[in-house]
Amino acid sequence: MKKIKQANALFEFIRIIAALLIAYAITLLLIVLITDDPIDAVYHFAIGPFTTKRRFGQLIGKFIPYLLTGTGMCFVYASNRFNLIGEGVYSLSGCIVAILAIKNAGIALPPALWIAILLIIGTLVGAAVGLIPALMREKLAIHEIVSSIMLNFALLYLTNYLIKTRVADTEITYLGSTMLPKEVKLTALVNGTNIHSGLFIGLLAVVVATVIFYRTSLGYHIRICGSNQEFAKVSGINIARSLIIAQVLGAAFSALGGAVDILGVYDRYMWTALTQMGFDGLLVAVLSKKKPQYVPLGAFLLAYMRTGATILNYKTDIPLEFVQVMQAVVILLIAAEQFLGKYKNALIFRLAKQEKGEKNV
Amino acid sequence: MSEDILSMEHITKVYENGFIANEDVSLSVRKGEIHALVGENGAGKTTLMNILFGFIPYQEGRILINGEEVHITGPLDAIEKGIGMVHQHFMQMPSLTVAENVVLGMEPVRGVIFDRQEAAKITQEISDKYDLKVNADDIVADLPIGLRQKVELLKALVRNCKLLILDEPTAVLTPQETEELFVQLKELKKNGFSIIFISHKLEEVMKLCDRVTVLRRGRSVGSGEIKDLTTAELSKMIVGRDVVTEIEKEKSEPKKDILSVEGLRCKNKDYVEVVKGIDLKVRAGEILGVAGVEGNGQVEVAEAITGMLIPSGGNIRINGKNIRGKTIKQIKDLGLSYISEDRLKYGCAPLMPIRENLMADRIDRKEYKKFGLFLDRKKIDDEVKQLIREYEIKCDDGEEEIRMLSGGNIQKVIVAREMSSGANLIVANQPTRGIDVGTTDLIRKTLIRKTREENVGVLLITSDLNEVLELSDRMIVMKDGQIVAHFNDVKKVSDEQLGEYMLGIRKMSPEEMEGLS
Repeated sequence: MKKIKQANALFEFIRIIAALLIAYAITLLLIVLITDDPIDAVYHFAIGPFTTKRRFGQLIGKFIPYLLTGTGMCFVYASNRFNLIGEGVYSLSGCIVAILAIKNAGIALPPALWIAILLIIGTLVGAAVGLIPALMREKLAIHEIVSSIMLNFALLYLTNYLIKTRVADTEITYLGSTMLPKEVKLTALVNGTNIHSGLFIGLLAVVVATVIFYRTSLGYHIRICGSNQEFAKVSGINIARSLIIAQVLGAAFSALGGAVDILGVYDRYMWTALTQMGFDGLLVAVLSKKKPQYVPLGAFLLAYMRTGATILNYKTDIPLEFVQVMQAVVILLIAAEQFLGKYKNALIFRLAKQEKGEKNV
Repeated sequence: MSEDILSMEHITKVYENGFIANEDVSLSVRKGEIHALVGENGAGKTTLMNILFGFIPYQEGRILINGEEVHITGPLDAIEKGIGMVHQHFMQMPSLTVAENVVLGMEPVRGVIFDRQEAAKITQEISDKYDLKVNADDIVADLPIGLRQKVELLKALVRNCKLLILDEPTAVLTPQETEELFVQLKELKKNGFSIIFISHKLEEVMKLCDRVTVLRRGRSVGSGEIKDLTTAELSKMIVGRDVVTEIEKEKSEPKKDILSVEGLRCKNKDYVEVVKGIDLKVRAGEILGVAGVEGNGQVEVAEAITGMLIPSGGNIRINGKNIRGKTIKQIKDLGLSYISEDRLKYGCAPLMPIRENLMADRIDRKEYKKFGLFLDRKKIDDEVKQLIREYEIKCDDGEEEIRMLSGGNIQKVIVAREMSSGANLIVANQPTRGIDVGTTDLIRKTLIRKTREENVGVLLITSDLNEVLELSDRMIVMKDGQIVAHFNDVKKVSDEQLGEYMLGIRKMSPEEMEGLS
């Protein structure tokens, strides 16, 4: 049994590496076909994010919100609900936090306390909005995919409206708020980069989520509900309550991500389209196999690919859309449970037989 | 024999989890006969037919069609070889017409365009030829169940199948529809078709079929001409015991009532009344066995007691408290634990570790928490370790996913959890079905120990005669949602007697059922 378990873990690792290699090989082939200077392109994509301090900063700047949205999505995904409200509350939370910060510029509070208050407000706003599709699903059986996506657009236009009517900067040619006051900016950890103190918030969130997941009865209930709802019912678990909390927690973490991102990276609020950060959170959760302790790995991998794609876009003749194809291949292969599954099963079958043989001797 | 259209010889099928569904099963069907395949649920009928239809592979044995050995690779191949299946659950597109459903997968075309008229023509021709009374242009969704079944039959006939398999075709039919179906099946027989008729309704088998093969616990226990058999003989073949095992147990000394059920009525999800006014009680320190052919309301009784199914009438009291309006958790807290018949669906979360599965019903109790919030890891680990040891669950440390265990060990996990929950009423539904001998023994002994030493009451629902006769202190038999027999002294009950009650040949009067409630 132990051997089988080890084989499973080893296989998971090999599988992810193999998926990456295959995806790279496919992309490489495509790059060779469409560009004049393939070596340069591959270099930018694969090594690019690590070549300068600024680029690595960009990577970490993406990594931080991914930690939060990914963790949030772990709750949603582990409860077997596909509630995508994380996307909408990400913007909404960022928007509310930006408006409050701008309207109260120069507030007589210690900056750290004021920032903490803003982050908490953003999180609570997200949790409150996250309650809507969760309640609709668990109480009225309205499918959460549909309601959350529709709601995402409603929230997007709501944020545009709020920015336009409350804090629009008339000096700039696009829709955006006025500059955020200095005192609400999260401290930069490395000057001249996007690496900011939100990193600690993100990592702390991963720890908190892991504790909730494995060390509280709530996390226990969420996982059982997500794994087998019928069994949860027989075991006397309050399914609706567990699933609603899971979805609200998911929204709350995403919303915190939006607030941290705004205060950490941006000078002003200017998200006039969906940020994709919430959806990316789902990808992170998929890459981390819905285990919050693996979210840092998944978040880093996705941030690395996204940064590489941006660099490729402005350094070479390869369009951004093409790079997204490659990302899709990697994610597909990692997410596909049965990729290389045949070999895995054969291996496990052999081990089981072996074990049986040993027992008989 | 050359006149055999089909013969399956020495078929053995072992599922991935080690369950032996068919063991050395043989079946032969002659040309132009209606052959009954009978046996209880779980006897291996469906597995055997799925093998024949190419749905699942088998390990040993061979299949001959018209005397030639064949290897059936899938349903399409089976159809090509002339085998047609009428499934219990119709495989139909309700929004399409009969003709469209019938020709699905072999659509007649004009150029590249579907030829609707041709499809209707083909379908109507066959329907008229065998007098199936189906109109090819009707929308399937508008048809009554009986006609929808004919559509299924038409599908096989249009594909030129000579051997038709009907899987419990009368289960969904009214008596009139059944009559009509039998007339049509006999007509088909005259036209040279061979039919395998799967059923556990004896009267139908006696009326319709020419020969019969009986399966029990995955083995073929006999076959023969219907005209040489009496209903009693056949019933004995179906429900009889293979080996009579004796389990030692002290005489029970029942005490106060733990469970009392009065006038319980339940409807299934199709709003059909399946439990029709049942009274029973279970006392502390005894096992009440519920025997009966499956599907006679036993599952619904169990689900009503556990709160999974809201009864349409009657009262259920656990330890004196009426469970009406209570949540499953509240009912469990009255002192109930439940071993479900479907262990992978209701008994565990297959993708989660053994540890989590062992603790699922009690994790929010205070005793497992530190500071009222965080789980007390050490306490949980200790209890998990102890349960694994006590119930001899074969695993390393409880961290592996439960699906990696064998069926028997999965059941041990479930039993360990349910027996250790502190409940004084255990509802056990088929606790040992498909489980190896060692585990079965462990589960049975634990049930007896619980009643004798800890004053627990057990409601044991099982279709295993051995089990019900050996474990029960008192026993009831259910048929068609009613209690048809009650035995205060199980030792005096013979297999034949029990079989007759189970199959509805005899029924006790209320006076005879003394001490039932």
